[in-house]
Amino acid sequence: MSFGNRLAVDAFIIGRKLLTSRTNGLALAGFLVLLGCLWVADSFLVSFSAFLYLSPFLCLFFSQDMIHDEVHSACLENLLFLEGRFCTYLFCKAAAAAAAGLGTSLLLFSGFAAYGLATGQFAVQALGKFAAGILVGAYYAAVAGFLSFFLKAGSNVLIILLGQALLFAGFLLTASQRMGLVERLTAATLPGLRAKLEFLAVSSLLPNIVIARRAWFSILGLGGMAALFLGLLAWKVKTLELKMK
Amino acid sequence: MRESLLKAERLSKRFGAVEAVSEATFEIYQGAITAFLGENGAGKTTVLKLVLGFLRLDSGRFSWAVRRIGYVPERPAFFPWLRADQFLQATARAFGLSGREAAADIDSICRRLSFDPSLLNREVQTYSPGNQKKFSYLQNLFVRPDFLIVDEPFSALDPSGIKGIRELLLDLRAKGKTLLLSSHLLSELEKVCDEYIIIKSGRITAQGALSSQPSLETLFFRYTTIGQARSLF
Repeated sequence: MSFGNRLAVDAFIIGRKLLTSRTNGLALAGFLVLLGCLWVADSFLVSFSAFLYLSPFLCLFFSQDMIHDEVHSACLENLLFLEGRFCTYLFCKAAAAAAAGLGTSLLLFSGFAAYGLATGQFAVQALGKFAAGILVGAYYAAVAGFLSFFLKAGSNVLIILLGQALLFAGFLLTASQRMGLVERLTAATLPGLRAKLEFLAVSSLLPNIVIARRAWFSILGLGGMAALFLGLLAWKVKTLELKMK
Repeated sequence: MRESLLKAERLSKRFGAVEAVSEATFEIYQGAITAFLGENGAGKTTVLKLVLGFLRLDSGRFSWAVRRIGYVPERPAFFPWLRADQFLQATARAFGLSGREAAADIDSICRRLSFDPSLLNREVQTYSPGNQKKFSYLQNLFVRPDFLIVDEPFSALDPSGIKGIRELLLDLRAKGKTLLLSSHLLSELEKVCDEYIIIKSGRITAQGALSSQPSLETLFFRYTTIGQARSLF
């Protein structure tokens, strides 16, 4: 089995999974409906802005049900995955989910950019926001991929969304007692190491805030965390065994 | 002198405190059908998974002298989002088989396995366990392996299916293929096997040629715990 043939087969199997997943279809359809509603009800700029901040969630949704269920269903104990080839397949799968999210985002961005340029509503800053969104999407894919070693089906995505919901609820419920944090996170500058670390800690759970604050420390910090989770994912895949349950 | 196709030396595998396989050394010979025997939990499937690369060795080594390996698991599982024909399409692509050659092969193998070709338009996961097993044979025979490893070759099959598989195994041997069969159905194994390997508590306790030995059942009871327990009564 040549490397090229193996990659083509992995791409075929993963492509079918991504295309036949109802969750992926629903997430994409819901996202498009939301953007359409914002455009119709408000304006192109509001819709475009929502796209730039929310598009990384596509990578997150496409990364649901990555590894756990396939490993434990014994589907990988197949002729196609002998001699440790299941490791390459799983790594390709994680990469393909991220690529599908990023590719869809790029396609939508191209549409928005073309319309914005034609109507003179395109701002150059949108490019920076989109680039930061790609990093956020890659971070989501790495974290969700790593979590899917331990969590069944789509619960790797749900737990991230739940964490974000709890973070929001925490901000709302403790707003009066913790005046400092919310203000510091939304301030024009983040003076001092403590404020920067606080920002990074929050961005580990809600990385989309990096799209708004594209400072060197936030980009480097999120990039470092993405690399860390990608490394953990690669290590878990490389040392994976198809044990009996 | 018989040519060795798989040579395993001192294979060991531990799952936490459990020593699943310990210093297992054995050989599989070219053109033979070898029965791999042991009680439940003796380590048969673990040994198979070690040589197939699904598990990692703690220590020991093995070497292959074979171009293409096939594997039929005891209970085959398949991706729920792929139809059987898509599975075969992926298999053909992976092993570089041409479309026309592959299609002709599928028809003849389906006939051989008494497998209804109209099922190929459905997801394999929707099949009965017997048909899933037959499809696993189909996927493997399709790539023409030189060495086929089968875990419980007759499980989930009806009597005519068992007869068909028995004939198929003998036919493969006649074509010079090598087979390793792990099973508890000693009476069926006895009809097809030339060699045996017996494993007990993760250790290989016996290996040899069947023709020059007592029956497989006698050997099994001699080299396993059940045999020792029987001798107490």
